[in-house]
Amino acid sequence: MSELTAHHHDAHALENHALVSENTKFAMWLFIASETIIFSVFIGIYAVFRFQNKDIVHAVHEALGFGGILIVTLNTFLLLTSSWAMVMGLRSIQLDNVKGGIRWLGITALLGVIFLVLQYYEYSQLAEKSITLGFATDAYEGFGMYFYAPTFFHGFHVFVGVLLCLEVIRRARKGHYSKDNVIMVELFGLYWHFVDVVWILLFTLIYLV
Amino acid sequence: MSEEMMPIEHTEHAHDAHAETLAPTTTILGMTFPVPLYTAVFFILGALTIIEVLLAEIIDGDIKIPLLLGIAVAKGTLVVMFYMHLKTDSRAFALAFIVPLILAILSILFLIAVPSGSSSYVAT
Repeated sequence: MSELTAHHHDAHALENHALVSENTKFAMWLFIASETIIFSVFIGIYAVFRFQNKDIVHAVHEALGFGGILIVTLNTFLLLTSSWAMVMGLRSIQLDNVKGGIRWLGITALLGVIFLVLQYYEYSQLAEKSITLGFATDAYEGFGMYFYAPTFFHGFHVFVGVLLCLEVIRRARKGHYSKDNVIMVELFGLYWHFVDVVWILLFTLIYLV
Repeated sequence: MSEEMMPIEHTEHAHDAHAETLAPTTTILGMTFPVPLYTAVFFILGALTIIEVLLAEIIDGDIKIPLLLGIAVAKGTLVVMFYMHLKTDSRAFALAFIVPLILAILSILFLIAVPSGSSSYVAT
């Protein structure tokens, strides 16, 4: 094979790789679009409840107190920091520092786990205040159902995200990624940041407004 | 590869953005900060969150809800534009995300606008 032909094959392989990467990313965006619709239903239902039952939501906020808001604010910072760690991990790998990328991704997974532990703690605190799933047992006329449905569904996404992150780390340790091959890391990043965006909206709508 | 084979635009603009995220400094409004773009965005997100929580405690009245929701949307937009790279990636990605988002927002606004239990229908 002549040198010119080999060069042509390399260029073709690179173009194919770029095309596959772009199409895979597009598929991920379509998945995110479907997730957007699902979360919009949860958020929409809560928003309708919130604007038609201002007194109930106000009473819940009073019961939670500033301490309750502080825990959730801490959780918000954990997710924001995990998103930052995620993109810094991607950046490290793009700068040909895979080991650094693995460290950043490890921080991402760890912060996701701490988020879930704190969410469990928050749920246990709410249960003590009789904010429950059952309409009959809930002290705030069904607030519990409107609250737990979106936050638990989001928490489940964080759980799945942690598992995906661990898988990305495992593959990175096996040498699957390099500065020219980061598409799987990018795809996981899209998922993780989407989960972060959902929390940003839930945090404001449920706890602050 | 021919132009026809490219289903999604892939421009040199994306490569410039790639360089922007890898750079050790960030320039905002003519000022250069000694941190990467991702870190600068993280600081802005953190500051907005603190402002949001403080405003929620301090402010009371009609302005509170639109103000806080506005800040939340600004934070979400920052993540989508810079962390999810929608600012620089193909417009097809943006379209795939924004169209269902707009439909969802319109549906939510419609649901909020419809008063509950207002049906005038009476069964005979």
